[in-house]
Amino acid sequence: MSAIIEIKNLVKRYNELIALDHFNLEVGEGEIFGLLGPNGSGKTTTINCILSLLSYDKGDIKVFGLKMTPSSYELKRQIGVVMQDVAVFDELTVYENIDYFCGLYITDKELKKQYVKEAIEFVGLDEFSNFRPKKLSGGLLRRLNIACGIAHKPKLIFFDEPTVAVDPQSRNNILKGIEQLNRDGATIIYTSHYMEEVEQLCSRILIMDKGRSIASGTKEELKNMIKNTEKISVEVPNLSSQAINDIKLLPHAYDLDYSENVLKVSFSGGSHNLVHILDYMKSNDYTLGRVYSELPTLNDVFLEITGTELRDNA
Amino acid sequence: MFFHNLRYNLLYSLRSKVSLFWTFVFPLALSTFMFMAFGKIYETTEKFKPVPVGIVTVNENEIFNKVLDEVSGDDGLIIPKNMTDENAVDALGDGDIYGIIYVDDNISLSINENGIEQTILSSFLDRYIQTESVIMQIAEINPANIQAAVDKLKSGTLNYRELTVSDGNSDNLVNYFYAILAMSCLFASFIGITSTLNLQANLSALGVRRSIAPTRKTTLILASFISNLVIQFTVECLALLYMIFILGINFGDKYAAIILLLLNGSSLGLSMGMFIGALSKPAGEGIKMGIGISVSMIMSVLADLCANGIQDSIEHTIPVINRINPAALMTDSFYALNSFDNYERFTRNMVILVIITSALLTGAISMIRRNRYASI
Repeated sequence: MSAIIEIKNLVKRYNELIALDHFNLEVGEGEIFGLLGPNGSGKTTTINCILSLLSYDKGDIKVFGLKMTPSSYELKRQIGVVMQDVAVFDELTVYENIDYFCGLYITDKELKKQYVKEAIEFVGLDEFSNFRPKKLSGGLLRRLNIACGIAHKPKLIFFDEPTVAVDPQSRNNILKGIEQLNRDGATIIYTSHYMEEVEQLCSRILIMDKGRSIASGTKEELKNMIKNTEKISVEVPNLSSQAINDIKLLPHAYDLDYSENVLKVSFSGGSHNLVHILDYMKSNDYTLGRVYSELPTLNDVFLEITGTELRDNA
Repeated sequence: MFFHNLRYNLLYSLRSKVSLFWTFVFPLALSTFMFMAFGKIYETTEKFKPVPVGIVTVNENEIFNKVLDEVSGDDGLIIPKNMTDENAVDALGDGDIYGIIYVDDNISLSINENGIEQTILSSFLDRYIQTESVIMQIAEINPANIQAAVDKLKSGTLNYRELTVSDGNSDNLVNYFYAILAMSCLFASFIGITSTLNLQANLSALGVRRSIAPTRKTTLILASFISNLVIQFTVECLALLYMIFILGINFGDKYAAIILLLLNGSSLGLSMGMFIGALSKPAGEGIKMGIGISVSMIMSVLADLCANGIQDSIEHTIPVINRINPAALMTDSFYALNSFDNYERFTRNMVILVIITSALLTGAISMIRRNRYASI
């Protein structure tokens, strides 16, 4: 798999603040690569540096094996960007907006017309092609934003938090669309602070915090990096101190918390942890309420590595 | 690519109703208010009207009668009304006439108060008395030339009407409307600022999208400039037509030159705005708009577009400011069109305006193109 993006030792400072601290990244062709991190972790700064919008203090950035500069027009032709902020002209219709932005990349009129039509169909805005953006709902507006970024059929597409402030149905459509684009051959860089989206979508993930890469790999690789393999929660009233000590001694249990009649036990390994807990409760005549077994999430990965919750920062 | 951008720039500019509204409304509304406010004042105070005067003939004076015929009428200097002494005194008291000329062996003037009209009558009579003595001398020395002397008197000596050295209109009233057109051109800078904000990644989301496209910034800037120029120039021309045909302002007959001046002025205003919009610091639309307003107003004040006398003072102290101040160049161009038959001064001003416009536009392009920003 050839690298489409290579970043080595990228350093970006905003006065005293180090936004990117010797940051490294390599994205292969055909991947959906996730950049996950809380707000302010450096995800958008990384994208802006790759796109040559931002100057940086140190490091090398190569896109398609070439150094990216503001005048790398041939490279830019192969790149599509869907930014977090909707960037369309309020005075133009849906069709005109897509036609305008597609026309910045495609000069052949017939080809452009075809691409615009396909983009409108792709995002499902066929019925709204004569609408002005102000007449569109938030979700439809996001879809227009996506269409403007991908109409020219780029080989590399950046999605920078495209689902912020989007309703669940539109979010689902957007994620499905991204998967389709990838199946059609585009390499995707996807940034988000929503770990569920990144888990669902991305083949490889890099977790960022404070401008640094703190972990990268597939979601399985990332989860294997941490101690926690299962977290079990049980609603059980009046649990005795003896019971708490007994449960602590169960195989693979390494952390326990009991408060407000809810017992939470973390395990490192083991495949029958829930059975062991339920057996203990039954044999000691405890009455149980709801029982949950949770596998580790990327939030647990982030929590274990940084000591803070991904959600808390977001 | 250029025409693709030009087409869409025109389209969204024409659909930007708020901005288009103010671009159109400013010159039309201001010229209407100006006409309503100053047009009447001008009619009553500044525009010359013939002075009604009572003529009481005690003894016939053929030469004076001939002169009166020449200077009387609606387009003349005075409106003589033959009266008896008694009627004339009553008319003077009622304010129907401004003075009484007694035609006798010695011609005399009677007035009962001082004012511009009375001064005109007095000056006219003084001038006649001086000239009459010359004619009398000619009559004594060479009587055959008397008619020629009177003709000479008619053609020049007693012609008190304003003479212009061009085909333009040098009425003071028209200067107000020139000022409006000049200021309207300068205010095109606001459109220029807005258009460059939409090209810069650190100032707008649209700027980000256009910066990552494989289109040269020079192409984007020039397309934006030309499309805005088409709109601004059309507005200026419509304002000119409104002033001529609706308000009835007489701009003389050098319309081609006036239109060229409006084109040049609109280009200057837009390029100035684009230059301000392209400055890396200070950033932010509000601050840039503030700078645009300040610069336009300072230029206008220095060019007498807001108050009289400053441009003249600058001309006598630091004339170079008038040579490089676009507002002064525009007003001076209007002045030159109305005051001189040749185009030397007008052409010089046009060339300077083109140079300034080119410099500002080049500056804007060089600041925006191939730019990587320190922060977005």
